[in-house]
Amino acid sequence: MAFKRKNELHDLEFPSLIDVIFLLLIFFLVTMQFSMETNTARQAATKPPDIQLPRAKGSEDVAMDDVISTLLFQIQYKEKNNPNSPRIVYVLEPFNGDSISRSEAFMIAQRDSMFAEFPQNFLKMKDQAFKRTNAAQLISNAIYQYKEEHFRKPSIENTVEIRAEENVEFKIINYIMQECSAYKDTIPRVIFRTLEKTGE
Amino acid sequence: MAFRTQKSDFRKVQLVSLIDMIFILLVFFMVTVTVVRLTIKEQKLPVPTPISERGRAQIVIQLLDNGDFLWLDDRATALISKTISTVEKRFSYLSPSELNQKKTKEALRILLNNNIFHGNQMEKKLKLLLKKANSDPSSQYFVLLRSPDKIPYYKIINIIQKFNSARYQNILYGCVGGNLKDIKNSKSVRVVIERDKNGRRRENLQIDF
Repeated sequence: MAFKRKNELHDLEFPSLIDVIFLLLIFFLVTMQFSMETNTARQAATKPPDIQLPRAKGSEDVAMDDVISTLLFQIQYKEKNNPNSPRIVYVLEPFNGDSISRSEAFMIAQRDSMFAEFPQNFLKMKDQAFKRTNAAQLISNAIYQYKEEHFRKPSIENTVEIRAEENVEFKIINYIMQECSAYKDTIPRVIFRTLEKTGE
Repeated sequence: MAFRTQKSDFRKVQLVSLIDMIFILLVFFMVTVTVVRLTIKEQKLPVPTPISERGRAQIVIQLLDNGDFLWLDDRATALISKTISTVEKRFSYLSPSELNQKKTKEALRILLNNNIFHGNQMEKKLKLLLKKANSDPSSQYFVLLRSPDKIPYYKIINIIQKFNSARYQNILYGCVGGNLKDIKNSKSVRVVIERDKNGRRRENLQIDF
């Protein structure tokens, strides 16, 4: 007598398989990005410290956050959240002309010593003495070099960005603007980075 | 004769696949919304690079160290223009250089006495300017913002963002460093009449530092 054996193994359903594969793909894509962020956060030395940017409502969105596509001066307090501590300027710029993340640019600035501290009494300094400070010299040289390498022709796209803590004094901002104005035709605009104002 | 029943081409939607698809879409939109929120965080506020020209503008805003500010608009310019004409008529016997000194002195007196406002008036003034600019697309305002060294960055941002938020982008602005002392010691104060792009008469205040 022949026994009919019931086959319990079903065929794998193709549409469901694709669905599951897509779910897994999205899951790993997302988790991989988050784990990369966490790794960066672990390296405290390479992560740019959070600074308190002023808020503005009528400004243009930054298409991609944390991307450096032009010369950017980041001015921050030496001690986090302490407006009474000295101001430090970091020179962040794209790497070999390619946009890079702000974290990477910050790491490069630290590695290449592209940062300088303003003296505590910089507000009382005369213009000439202020220009001779290491920080002011760093700013001037950075603008000149970046202009020579990247801003060969006058264009509205040639901009220098400033990212500064809320309470950073206008003297520093004004100095950067004045240095850019030396190349008025070449650098027609300076960009102030702000945060989006919410709750209004 | 028996007819064969026609096989329907419409299959039932498979519930398992439907749920899978809904989950995929849900995860996709959750992720993209989060990413968009994370990325559009910082904004850019463009500011024209200052030019080394005389401080000429329709509206001059001079911030002061104590939080107050000097606001010179068309009303102040008209008053200064009137004062200058009166001085010209009354002191016509003076030499050109003496007359210029007299005009500047009188203009500065008017300028400094009636136009310094308390810091909390700034918001109101800016709102009024914005209202005027937004009510007439053909109008154009050129504002010069002068700030002393110790003014914090956020105060400048607060003012510039107001200019930048004009509906028709008809508030043109410049931002330079400077203090009230420069204005007090200015060599001359003049009212220069210009025509804007629409041919309208515009009185600009020119302060030579």
